[in-house]
Amino acid sequence: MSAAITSELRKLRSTRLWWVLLISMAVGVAFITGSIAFSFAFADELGGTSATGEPVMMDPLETARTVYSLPVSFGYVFPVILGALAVTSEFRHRTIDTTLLLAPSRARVIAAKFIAVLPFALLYGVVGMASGVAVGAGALMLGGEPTGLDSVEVWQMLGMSVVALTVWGVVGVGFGSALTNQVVVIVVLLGWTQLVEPIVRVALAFIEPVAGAAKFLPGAAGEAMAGASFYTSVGAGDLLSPWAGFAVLLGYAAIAGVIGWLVTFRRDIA
Amino acid sequence: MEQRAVEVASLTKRYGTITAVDDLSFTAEPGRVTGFLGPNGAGKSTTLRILVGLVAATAGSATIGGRGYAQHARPGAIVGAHFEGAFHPGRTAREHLRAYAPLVGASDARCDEVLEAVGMTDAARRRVGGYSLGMRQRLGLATALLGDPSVLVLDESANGLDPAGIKWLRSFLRHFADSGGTVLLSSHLLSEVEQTVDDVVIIASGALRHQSSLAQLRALARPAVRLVSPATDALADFVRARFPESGVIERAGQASIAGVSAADVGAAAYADGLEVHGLSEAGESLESVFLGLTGTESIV
Repeated sequence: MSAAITSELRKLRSTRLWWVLLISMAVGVAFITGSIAFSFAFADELGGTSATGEPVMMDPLETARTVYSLPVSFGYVFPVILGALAVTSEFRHRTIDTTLLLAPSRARVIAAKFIAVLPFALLYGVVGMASGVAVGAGALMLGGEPTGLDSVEVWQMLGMSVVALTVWGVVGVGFGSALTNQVVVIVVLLGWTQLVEPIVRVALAFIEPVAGAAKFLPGAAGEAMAGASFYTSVGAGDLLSPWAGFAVLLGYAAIAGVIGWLVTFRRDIA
Repeated sequence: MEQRAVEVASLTKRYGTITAVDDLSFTAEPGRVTGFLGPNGAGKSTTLRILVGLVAATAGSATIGGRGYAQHARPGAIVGAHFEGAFHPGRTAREHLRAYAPLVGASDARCDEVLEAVGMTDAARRRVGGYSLGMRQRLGLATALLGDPSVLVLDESANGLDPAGIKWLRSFLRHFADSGGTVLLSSHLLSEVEQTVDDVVIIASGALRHQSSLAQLRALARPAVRLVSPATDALADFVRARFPESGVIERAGQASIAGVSAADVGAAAYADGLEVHGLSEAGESLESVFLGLTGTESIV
């Protein structure tokens, strides 16, 4: 098993994908966090209102927590794509042939990919949070708001956010295993994370009988781990507890991985 | 080197109503280079993929050294296989090999060793995306060699090689087989591997058409006579009238007639008043024997 993990680590490390995505994440997260943190910090001057029409009257610490949750809310697409492409690129470039020739146990190959993505996704979590917190805290400071970085609670939340982004990498591996076509995977992931889930979450919040379902969506589960969410702060549903969010997210990874094993990896590789 | 034969017995693979491999049986012996030949779509790749466990057989068996591929404790150390493609364009040759090395317990030094064995040392640090087809074939062979196997299963490994590359592959596989290794090399062109293989297994439509040594295949070639005339229309009429079954116009002004002597053709041409510029006895080409066995018509 350790040989299979070493092999997967070397595969990830030896293409440009991981650092191109990592740089994109750092820049993208800084941009989004910066934009939103500034609009929060200068809400008085801008005359901002929330989605429900109420004036934004957030507890300052809550504002900081919401800002620091943005790297998870908007940045999780990067580790998830890294994880998914760790699987799909094998099918795209037909390297899956050699992989399975040398490691005939297909369940072991998937397991090795789940594990090998962890250090990379952890790095994404650390870099993404560092980028978001640096820009977010800077914006809050400029706006005269407290940064909350003297609070143990905020640091716990930052730690859980790093874990959340790490778990997203694992979800990506599961998703890539279930749906091995690289182009389809990228389109579905970008469509779901950037468009479908945000709309569904906002929409579900307004449909009373199913309003509770939104918190079980993968994006919401990730934010639950961060303990705060831009969506809930604007009135679109509530969140699970951090550990429940962790469990739900791992559940998605496990289900996708099992589907991948059943649907793809047990089939002929022709 | 431990000797292991490849044995395919009554192998069948069906995809829905399509039979890709049809009750196929053959063996590839240690110490021999066996050419696995057939036109595109004959079922060669499917058979090789079943042999190495990538595809599940519908019926029958394919074994290496008496065991199925996955029954070997570390199959990569017994069988070296390579299929077309199978490279990430962003990796260098060395990175490609090192990514797989742990799975067969190969060290970094072993990676450099196989790169040297296939003459790729100079290109080791270049990305595969920039490689020619010939370089990819060499790297494919290097990948197959990584676990120091005694059986090589190579899918179309001569495809796209220039004459120097084919000569190199021939001497490489010859050396491998001479030290007791078993080589199974597929190709859709007999001419590409004619100088390389000792034995031939010829299939078409998933079924065995012929298995023998290359020498025995050569013996199947019938004698033929080549006739050259500047009167292209008269030549065509002559062939059609005199040798309707066995004669073909190879190109304008040149015909090939199988199963006759030069004397017979010369006499007939003289009788018909055909101007003859060339008359020679030449064996039927091995390629046309191959095409005849696979049921594919020669497009001449």
